[in-house]
Amino acid sequence: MADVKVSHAGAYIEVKGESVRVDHAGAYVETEQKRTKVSLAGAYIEIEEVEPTKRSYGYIF
Amino acid sequence: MAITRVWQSGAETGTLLEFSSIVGAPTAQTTTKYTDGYAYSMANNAQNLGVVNVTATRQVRIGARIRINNNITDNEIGLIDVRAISTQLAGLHMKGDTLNLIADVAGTNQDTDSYASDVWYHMGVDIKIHSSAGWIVVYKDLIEIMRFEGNTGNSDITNVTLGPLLLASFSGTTYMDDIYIDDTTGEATAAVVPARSFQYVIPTGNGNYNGNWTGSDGNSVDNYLLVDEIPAASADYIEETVTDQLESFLMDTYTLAANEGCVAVIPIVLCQRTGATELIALGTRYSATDVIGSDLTPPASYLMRFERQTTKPGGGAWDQTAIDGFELVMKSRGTY
Repeated sequence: MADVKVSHAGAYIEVKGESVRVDHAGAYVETEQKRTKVSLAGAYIEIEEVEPTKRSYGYIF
Repeated sequence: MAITRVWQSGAETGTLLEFSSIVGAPTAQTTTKYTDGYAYSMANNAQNLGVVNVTATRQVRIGARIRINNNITDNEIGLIDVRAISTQLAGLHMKGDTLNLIADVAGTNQDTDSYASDVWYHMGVDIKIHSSAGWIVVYKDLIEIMRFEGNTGNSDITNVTLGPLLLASFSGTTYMDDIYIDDTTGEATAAVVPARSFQYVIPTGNGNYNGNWTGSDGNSVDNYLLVDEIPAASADYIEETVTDQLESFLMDTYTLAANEGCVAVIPIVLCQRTGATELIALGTRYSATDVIGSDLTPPASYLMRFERQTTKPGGGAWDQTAIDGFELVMKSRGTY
């Protein structure tokens, strides 16, 4: 008599690992040079106009 | 408008994985550098580029320390170019011992300036792509040396190339260090591109959140030892398969020089995801306060992701105490 035989039964469950991986970690410290720039140097000499001294002259003979 | 950081690198992972991609064979090397341990080196006798992809924009500024041992008889190369996919839009070129300013897709030279061989310069390039009101302005050591204003084209910038974009044979070597790219959309005029340095610190101990992620060594003990190598090595790593898991590390210290100010602390990781929905978020922890940034998408193979923080957790500018005391925090995000 014809028949079909099964000696083993099973099932594959196809799975995929889901993960996030980190291979390297670090941090940049972003720096900037503090600069003070001077493009011109000079000095004001503050003056005040002074009225010419009023003098009177007399002549003694 | 805010100026937004797009990318930066001091080459300090000792790899090329901070670039989006590379062309040819640039290297991260320790011999000739401007700051810290590494700088990029690009031999000029072939097309050796680091490529940085940017979100489409019409306006950027790029700063970098550049040193070239050039030859006065050499042909023209690109040094810093902005491109629409593979079409060069504008950039800073070099021919012999002369810098050239390229402002259009035709590659027309608009301005020149001198360049001494084997000297580190800070080069800054401020670019606006516009069919009539565009500009490209170049600064050398913070001084404007070249300017073009007018028609700079009508295409979005999609990537920036760093290194010798070979137009003809060139004999020297280009070194680059402390590079950054900012999106300057909305800025009304070109401005001096500041000189920035990127000092690097690596994990040195277990942080407040430790032992949550799993190491490639099969356990969760001293995970910081699996992510601290320079050059970064993919042989060991840590991974997470559940969302919202925190891991943090104590970090090495960096002492600011007397004339240095800290602009930002920038946690970075070289990371990847094995599926399609996993994400990661990065941040810092200081004085028992966490500041963790937006979700980032890891690529399918290891590349850099970063989170730039211009203020310390709790508020205020980064100072020496905060630099010495912060933890790098990473958080698994997305779905698994």
